[in-house]
Amino acid sequence: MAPTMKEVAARAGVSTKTVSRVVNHHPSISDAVRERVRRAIEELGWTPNAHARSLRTGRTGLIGLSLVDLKAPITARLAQALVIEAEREGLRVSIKPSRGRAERIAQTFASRGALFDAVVHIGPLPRGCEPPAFTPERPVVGLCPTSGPEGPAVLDSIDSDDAGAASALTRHLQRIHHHDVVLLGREAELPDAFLGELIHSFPDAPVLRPGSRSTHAADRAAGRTLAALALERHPWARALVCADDELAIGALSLLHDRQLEVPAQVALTGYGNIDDGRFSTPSLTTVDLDLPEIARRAIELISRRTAGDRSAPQRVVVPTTLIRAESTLGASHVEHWGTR
Amino acid sequence: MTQVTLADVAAAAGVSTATVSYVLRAPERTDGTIRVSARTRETVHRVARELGYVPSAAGRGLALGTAERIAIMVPNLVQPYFARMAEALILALEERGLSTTLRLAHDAAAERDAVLGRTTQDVAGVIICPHSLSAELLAGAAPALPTVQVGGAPTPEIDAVVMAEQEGLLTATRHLLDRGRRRIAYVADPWLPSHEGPRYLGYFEAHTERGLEVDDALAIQGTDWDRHETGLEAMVGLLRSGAPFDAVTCINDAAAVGAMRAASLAGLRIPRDVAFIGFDNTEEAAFTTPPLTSVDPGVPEMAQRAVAMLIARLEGESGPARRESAPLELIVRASTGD
Repeated sequence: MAPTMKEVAARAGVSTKTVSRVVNHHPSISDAVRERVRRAIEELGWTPNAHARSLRTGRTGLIGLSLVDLKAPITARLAQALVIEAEREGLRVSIKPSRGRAERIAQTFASRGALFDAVVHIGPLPRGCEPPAFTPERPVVGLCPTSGPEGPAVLDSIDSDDAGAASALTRHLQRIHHHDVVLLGREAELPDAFLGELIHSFPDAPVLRPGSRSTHAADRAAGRTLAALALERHPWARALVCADDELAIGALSLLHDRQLEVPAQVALTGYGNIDDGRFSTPSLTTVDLDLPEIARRAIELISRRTAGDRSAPQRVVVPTTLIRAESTLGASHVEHWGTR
Repeated sequence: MTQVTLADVAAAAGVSTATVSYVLRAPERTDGTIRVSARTRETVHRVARELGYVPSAAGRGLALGTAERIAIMVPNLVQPYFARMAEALILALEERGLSTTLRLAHDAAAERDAVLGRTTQDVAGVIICPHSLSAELLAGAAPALPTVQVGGAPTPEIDAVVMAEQEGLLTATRHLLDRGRRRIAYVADPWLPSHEGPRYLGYFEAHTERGLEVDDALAIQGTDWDRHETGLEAMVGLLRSGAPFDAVTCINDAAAVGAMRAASLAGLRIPRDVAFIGFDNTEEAAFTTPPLTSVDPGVPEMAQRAVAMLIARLEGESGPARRESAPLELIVRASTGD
């Protein structure tokens, strides 16, 4: 009969949790304990087997990760952070690209129990996609944001502090005397908490948004189109404030084509702090969302839920940081590129 | 009492767990990516009956696909090339009825452990986009599961979709030489010995075929190989060396964008003073200032080929390791002139 993890734990004089952590290379284990567990594993000839584990526990050890696609750098980076955090807990991640299609998202949600212990969904839910029922024992955690700050939480969610981000960005633009602002947003049918806060801060600013498309609406190509529209309709604009770094990068490429100096003639800001913005010329003033922290909190919440926490839906808000760079301050004031 | 597992059935029937899983859930699917003979089918059903194999709730989950889950391993998802490749592989596998888990290889040992089955007991096969995988790393051990490598230097006994890296750099460097550039720097992978690796060879060949010499001072590196910072620091090094240059060709787009950033900060005009070429043709390339010329490795085609090779092995194909490659294409943009 094959030895069990329990027997390994007993022989090493530790808990099964510790054995699991050693097997999954958890960083918090001392070398001495690690060595003891390793010896016990070797002596008993035990193989950590996800398959056997899942039959014992009724769990699959798998998290389904629902996202539009991996094209957006923020999504790719967040997915990477989630895989790293999940592995620390001995969990695997199965990525389910939806391409924005409601039925694919619904399918991923419905795979809880059979395939996935939990599902993490990145981004807002597209139109026609109902939030899944709140089932704390098979949780769905929404990231960035699914519910919006106003309504009652219907799902567990980890959101960035968009109100704080918009407020910091507004103060920054005021301090450097940028009042003639045009807002560039995501497509109108998707909730966007950050843009909502910006509209609140700049009540008189025109808002330009891409037309309805199922995916990639807030990408670089859309940024180019919206920037051209802003110059045409609002020639007085002295700052383009974008709801996403990719929009801002696209806008920057158009401003270069039109030979407009950034920020001397038009200032530009983004949201997300992707690498492209730190290495563009000029570097991009933006908001850092602390994606590793968002991932950490998401996996932590899933661990609590699968361990038996049945409390009401939780909303965790992760602080953001304003990155002040050349696209608002000009080259001589820059301090932030390449600091990571 | 120990529960009878899928693995027990597989061992007793003398087949893989993937086959058992497939046979036991066969009525539910008709697309048939795995072919099993009637005799094997019969054996599996008989053994499962004899052992009293009862799929539990989690077991049903396994029978519904876990045993045919494929591990996709990449060094990271921050590099757009790996994000794009991972997504292409996930979707291509899904199309063939196979589900996936994504693994990150933080180092060479993680790549080795995945290929040797130490960290991949939960899957039926592995597709790996390696950075460090090599014969030395495996030290004679054979892959434990059907394994396909995508990109990187081919490893003995592992099926591989090879990226035409040498041809890519050859094409890129020829393009710069055609445009009259004669002092072409190359941002290289610091983990490869200098003057080695297919990309360097392509860069070298483009020069020698025209009777031109390569200046060693122009083979530059950063601390690592895959970040925007890599190109930026390599470029700072080149600027500080004082060696004259009029073009830079890079191992990837991220490095090229970082290098362009350094050039801009140094007051150089692109492409008038210095031309740039990247590799991977990422989303970023079309929107840089100016837009970046880049080598497109054909990610969707590479992914399709990798999945086809893996499925052939899952279906029981034997024989020596196969090598395939996808055609690549130079996408010319303003960073190399009009």
